[in-house]
Amino acid sequence: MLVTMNQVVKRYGTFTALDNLTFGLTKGETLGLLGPNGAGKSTTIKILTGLTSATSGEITLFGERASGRTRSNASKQRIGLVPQDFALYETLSARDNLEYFGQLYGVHGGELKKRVDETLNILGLSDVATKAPKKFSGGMKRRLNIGCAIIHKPELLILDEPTVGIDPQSRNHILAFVEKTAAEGTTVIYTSHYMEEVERVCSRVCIMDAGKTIADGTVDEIAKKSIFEDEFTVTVNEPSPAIPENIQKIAGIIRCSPIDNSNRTFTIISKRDSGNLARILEVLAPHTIVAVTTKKPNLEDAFLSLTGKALRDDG
Amino acid sequence: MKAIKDFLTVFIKSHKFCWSDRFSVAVFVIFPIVIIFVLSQALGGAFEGNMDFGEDFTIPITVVCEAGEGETSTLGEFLLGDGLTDFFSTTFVDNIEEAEELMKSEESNLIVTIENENELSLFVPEYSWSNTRLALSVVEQFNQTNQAIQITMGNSDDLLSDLASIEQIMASELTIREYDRGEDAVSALNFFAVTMIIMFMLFSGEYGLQLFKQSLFNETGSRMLTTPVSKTGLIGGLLLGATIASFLQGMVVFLFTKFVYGIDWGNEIWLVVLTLFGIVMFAQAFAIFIFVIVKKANAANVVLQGCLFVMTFVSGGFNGQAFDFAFVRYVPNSLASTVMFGTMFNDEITNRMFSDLGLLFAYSFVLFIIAAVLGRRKLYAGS
Repeated sequence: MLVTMNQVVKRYGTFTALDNLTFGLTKGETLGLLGPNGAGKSTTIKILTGLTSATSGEITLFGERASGRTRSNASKQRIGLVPQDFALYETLSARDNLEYFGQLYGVHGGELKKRVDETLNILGLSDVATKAPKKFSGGMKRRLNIGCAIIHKPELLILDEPTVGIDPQSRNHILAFVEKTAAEGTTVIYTSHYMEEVERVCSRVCIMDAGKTIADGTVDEIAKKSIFEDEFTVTVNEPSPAIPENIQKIAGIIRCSPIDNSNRTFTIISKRDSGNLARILEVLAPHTIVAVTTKKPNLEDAFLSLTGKALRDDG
Repeated sequence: MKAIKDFLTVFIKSHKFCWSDRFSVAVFVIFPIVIIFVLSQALGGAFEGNMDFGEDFTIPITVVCEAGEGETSTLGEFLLGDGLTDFFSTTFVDNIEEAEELMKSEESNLIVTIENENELSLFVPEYSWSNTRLALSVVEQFNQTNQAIQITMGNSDDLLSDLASIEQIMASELTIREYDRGEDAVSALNFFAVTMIIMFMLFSGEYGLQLFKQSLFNETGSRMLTTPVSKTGLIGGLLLGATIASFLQGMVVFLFTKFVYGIDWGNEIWLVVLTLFGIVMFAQAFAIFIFVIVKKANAANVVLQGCLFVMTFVSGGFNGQAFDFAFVRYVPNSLASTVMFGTMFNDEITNRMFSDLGLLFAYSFVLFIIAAVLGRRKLYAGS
């Protein structure tokens, strides 16, 4: 295990931020920490990086036991942290920022210059290398924020909500970068409010709520914990009032209802993995099917099932 | 080796950070150069500079008593009356040559010559707050007997106007004769060069405050504290970066006043430079101290600027009128101006100049210690 947290508790006065949190992370994994505000995601990251100490529990990093706020230089050297907000010097150029953090992580000379150029290139910032971040868009700042954490090529990259408040293009750029980094063998901890991001980049997901882990597994494993079923939406050209009744005769169909008064489009809920789509299409074929969409339970549904609340409502 | 490398990295980047903010550079370099010129032009005829850079307790004066011992006692009574002994030490000599020797060796600020029973001559070598007060006191005392008085003085219009403003003195038979002392007279330009450089260098503590706030207490702080750099190296590098950048900016202003405005800073330039460094050190220490004792960073900014304005104001930095409280003597502006004016107008370095400079460095040291202790608690507050 690269990282383990075992029965970790963190209290601020009477408030318990982490309540016996336990998880482990093996080399090369991409772990998504998912949870609403106050779930304990940032506290987990702070404890891992030594920015705050755990009240109790055991933490190991790269095989070393980490206690209090003390982390060995060797451990620190192997971690790259991308904080939630911009951790940049706004008046120094992008290149200066990268050089600064590279030097602090012990990268110097020609190697530093090479890595700075590489990082600028990877993050699409080569053209603005000499400009100060205060003149950057939110997306560019986010990318530079990540660059400062990867300049020393860390083994463990921790990204705390790295795509908040940016345009879709920059988000896509960042997600592609995380996918690439993970594919190259870097272990990643990725916290986010955005389910689709976690689904896209993470090989494993840990859902947290009120300081506890409530689910831990692959995206598919967690999705299966959803109480929700398969959902189909079908549109036909020749509607008939008998359609809902005929569909509901199929075994495993829970509900079939039109979504508007035209009676052309229907939402059909079927028991999960019952293979009913073919049967539904058979029933609807005489009515000239023009569109079919299917929706499997996803992390959003799983989160709703497990916590009883929507992820972004609390955020 | 790694620690030194880390320290130098933080120092160099912090230094660069201070110069990278063009607005701040303009405020700390261009603005003081302009304001020194503007203030000296606008207020040149009206200000009364406080340039009391002599020793602490007594101002030496020499009484020439050519007329004989009887006159000595009369004059002694008048000079020593009314509590003047608290401020002046008097040396009685027989002839003017001896008095001039004392003046040259800086052992006397004023020569009082008894011309005859009813006539007194004062020689005031240069304009300063203490010399003005001394001359006025003597004139007032002598005036009570309606005796004639002659004042010989340095070529400063300011002293003339000070004396002239007291009508009861003018009522007496007063003869004023100019005495040319070349370039020694204090001008408004000299005065504001000293006080404004001190004030702006004190405000340069803003660099330290911004660097600390940015590097240790916000998101960048999270990143910095997770790097494999010791906190000592980090804090030391930040402090030195801010201090050296501020010091160099102060030096730009200083050199500009010397070579463009033509201000004569005296022969002991190294002492002026050391004082500039002392002010910058104090500025950083004070700013960080305020930052750690005030909860919110924005409030700390306001408190810092308020304190610096008050310190400049009470020490007479804007108009030469220092507040008449004992503590004013120990305000950093007063300490630094003692050394700078002293270097400007004294041929020798006095003990007071050294002790004031020492105090300035001592303040910085104490503030750094307190800030380090309290800052550690603030750094991990809530963790």
